[in-house]
Amino acid sequence: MPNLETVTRRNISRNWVIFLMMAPTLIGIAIFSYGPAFEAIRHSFYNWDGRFTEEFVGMHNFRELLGNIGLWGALLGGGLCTFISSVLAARQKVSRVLKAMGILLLALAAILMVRDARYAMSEQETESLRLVPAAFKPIWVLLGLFLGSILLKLKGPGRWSKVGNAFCYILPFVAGLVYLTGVRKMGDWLLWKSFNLIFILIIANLFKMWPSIFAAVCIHRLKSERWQYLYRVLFVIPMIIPHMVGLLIWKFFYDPSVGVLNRMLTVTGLDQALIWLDKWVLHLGVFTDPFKPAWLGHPDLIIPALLFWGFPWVGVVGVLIYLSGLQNIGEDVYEAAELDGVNSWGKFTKIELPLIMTQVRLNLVLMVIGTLQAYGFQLILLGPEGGPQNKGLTPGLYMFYESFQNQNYGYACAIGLMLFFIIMFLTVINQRYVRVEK
Amino acid sequence: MQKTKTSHEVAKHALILFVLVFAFLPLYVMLVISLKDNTQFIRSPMLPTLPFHWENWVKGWELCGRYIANSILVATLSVIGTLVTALLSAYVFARYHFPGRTILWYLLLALLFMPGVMNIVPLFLIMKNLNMLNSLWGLSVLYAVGGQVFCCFVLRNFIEEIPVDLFEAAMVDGASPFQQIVNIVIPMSGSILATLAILRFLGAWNNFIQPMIFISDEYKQLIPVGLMRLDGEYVKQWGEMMAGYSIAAIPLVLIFLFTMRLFVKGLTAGAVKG
Repeated sequence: MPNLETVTRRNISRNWVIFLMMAPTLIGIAIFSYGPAFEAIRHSFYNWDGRFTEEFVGMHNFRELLGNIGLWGALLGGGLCTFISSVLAARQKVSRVLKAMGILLLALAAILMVRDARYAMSEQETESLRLVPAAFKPIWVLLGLFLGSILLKLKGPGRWSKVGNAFCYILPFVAGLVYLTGVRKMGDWLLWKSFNLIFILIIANLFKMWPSIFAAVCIHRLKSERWQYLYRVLFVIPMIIPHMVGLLIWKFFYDPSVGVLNRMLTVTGLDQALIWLDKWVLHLGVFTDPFKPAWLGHPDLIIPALLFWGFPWVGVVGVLIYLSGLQNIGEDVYEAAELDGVNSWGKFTKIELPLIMTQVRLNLVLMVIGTLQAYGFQLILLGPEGGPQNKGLTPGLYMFYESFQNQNYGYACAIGLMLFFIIMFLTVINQRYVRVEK
Repeated sequence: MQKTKTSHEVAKHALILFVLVFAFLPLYVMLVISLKDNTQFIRSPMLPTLPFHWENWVKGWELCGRYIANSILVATLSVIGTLVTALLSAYVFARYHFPGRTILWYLLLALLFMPGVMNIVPLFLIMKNLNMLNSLWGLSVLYAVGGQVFCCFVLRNFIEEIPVDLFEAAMVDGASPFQQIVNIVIPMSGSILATLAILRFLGAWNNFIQPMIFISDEYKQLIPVGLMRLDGEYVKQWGEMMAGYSIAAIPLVLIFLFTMRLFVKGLTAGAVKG
C-alpha cells in the first residue's frame, strides 16, 4: 500500500497519536462487546443463575440442548477444519493436514449417522413404522444431492461447479438437521421448534424482499424527475414513526374486538368466506360466527399473523438504497435495449436487477442474520413464551426466556453460543460465495 | 428515459400510491385516534369524529414527557460519542498502516455478526460492577459503543475514497492528524455524517431491550419502554395512548424537517452501500 502512512516499530514514538485516536473505540469494544462475549462463552459450560449458583458442569448444557455431542462435535470440527484449510493457501503443509483431518471427522460423523439411522430403523419397526420413512426420505434425497454436487464440483463446467460447490457445504448441514429432528428427536424440543419457525420466517422474508425492489424500480422508471424526488421524500416520512409505535399500532390492527383487520374483513364480507373455509376445508375451529379471531392469541393464527405483518412489506430504507443503485444506469443502456426490442420485464431482469444485485445480496445477508437473532418483535407481541403453545418462539426469544424468566443463565449462554456458530457459518458462506463488492 | 405509454405511467403511479397509503396508515390511525375519547373510538375507530378531544394530547404529554426528555438526552449523547470515536478510528484505519491493523479491523467487523442477545446477561453484570446500571449516562455509553462498528465501517470506506493528494498536501504543510480530520474529512463527509447521525439517533430512539433491562427506576425510563407500559395497562384509554405515540414521534419529525435533504442525499449517494 504505497499511499498509506506506514507506522513500524521504529517510528512508533513519533506516531503514538494514532493509537490514542483509536483508544476510545478499542477500549469501549473490549469492555462492552468482547468482555461480555467471553463471559457468555465461559458460562455456557456452567450451571449459573446469575447470583448464587455458579458451578462448572462441562458439556451438560450442550448435551441437554443438542443431544448427541459426539456427532455434533465431529460435524463441526470437520467443517471447521475443511474451512480453515481452504482459507489457507492450498499448497501449505498445514492446510493439507487440516484438510485430511476435516475429511476424517466428517466421515466419522457420517458413520455415526448411518449407525444411528440403522439402529433407529430396527427399533422403530417394533414401535411404529409410520415415522421412519417420513424422516428418512428427505435424508436420502439430501445425501444423494450431496454426492451429485460433489461430482459437479469436481467435473462440472464453470458455472455448475460453483453451484455444486455451494451445495456441497449446505446439503450435509441440512441433512444433519433433518436427521437430528426427524430420526433421533433428541435435544431440546423447544429449540428445534424455534428453529422451525425461523426457517419459515426466512423463507417468507425471501418473498417479502421483492416489493421493495419493485417499488424502487417503479419510482426509477417514472418519466418526470419531479415526481421521482417527491416520492423519494414521501418514502422517508414514515420513518418518523418510532419503531415501538409501529409495532404497537400493528398490534392494535390485529386486536380481536376493536382491531382494524377484523373490521375490514367483516365489512368486505371476507369473513364469511373464511368461516366457510374453516368449516368445510381447514377444520381448525378458528373462524366462527361472530367473526372475532384473536390473531395473536390463537396458536394456529400466530404464524399467519407474523407472515402478514407489515403488509405490503416495503422497507423505506431499502427502497432508497435500491434507488441509489438504479441511478447509476445510463440512458444509453435503455436506448440500446429499446433498439433490441427488450420488453419491460426483460429490462428488469437484464438491466435493473443485475445493477442492484450488490445491494440485494447485502440486504439478503443482513435479513437472514437479522431474522436469526430477532426476538424483540416477538417479545412485545406475544410475550416471553412466544404466545400460546410457544408458536412464536424464536431461538433468541427462547434464550431471553431462559435467562430472565427461568434464571437459567448458563443454558441461555449455550443457546447463544450455538446461534453465534450458525451466524458465523452463514457469514463464511456469504464471504465465499456471495461476493459483495465495495 | 425510455418511451412508455400513458397507461404504463398511470399504473406505476397507482402502484407507488398503493404502497404509500399503507406506509402512511399507521401515521393516520395514530393521529385520528389521538383526538377521540373511548366511546367515539368504539363507534368508529378509523374516521375522524367531532368533537376533537385535544385534552388527550395534554394527558399524553404528562404521561410521556419525562420519558421523551430522557430519550433525547441518551440519544444525543450517544450519537455524539459514536460519531467522534468512529471518525477518529476510521481515519486511522483508512490512512495508516500499523502492526496489527488487519487483525484489529477484523475484530471490529466480527462484532457486526455477533448475536446481541448472547451478551446481555454478562453485560448486565459488567454494567453492575462499573456502577452504570440504572443510569442514563451508562446507557449512553453503551449505545455509543454499540453504534461504533457500523459507523467505522462506512466512514473508513468513505475516507479511503478521498483523494490522497489532499492529505499529502496537508502533511507537507505540517497538519496533525486532528487538523486533517477537521479540515479535510469533516467538510467532505457532511451528508454521510448526517445520515449516520440520523440512523444512530433512530437506533437509540427505537431500542427497547436495553433500557428495559438496564434501567429500573420509572422516572429514568426511556420512551419505547414507556410506550410499552402505556399499551400494557388494563383499561386502555385509546385516545391518550395514541396521543402519547404521536408525541413520541415529534422529536423525530423535527430532526427530519431539518436534515431531510442531507438524509435523502446521503442515502442515495450510497452512504450505506456496504
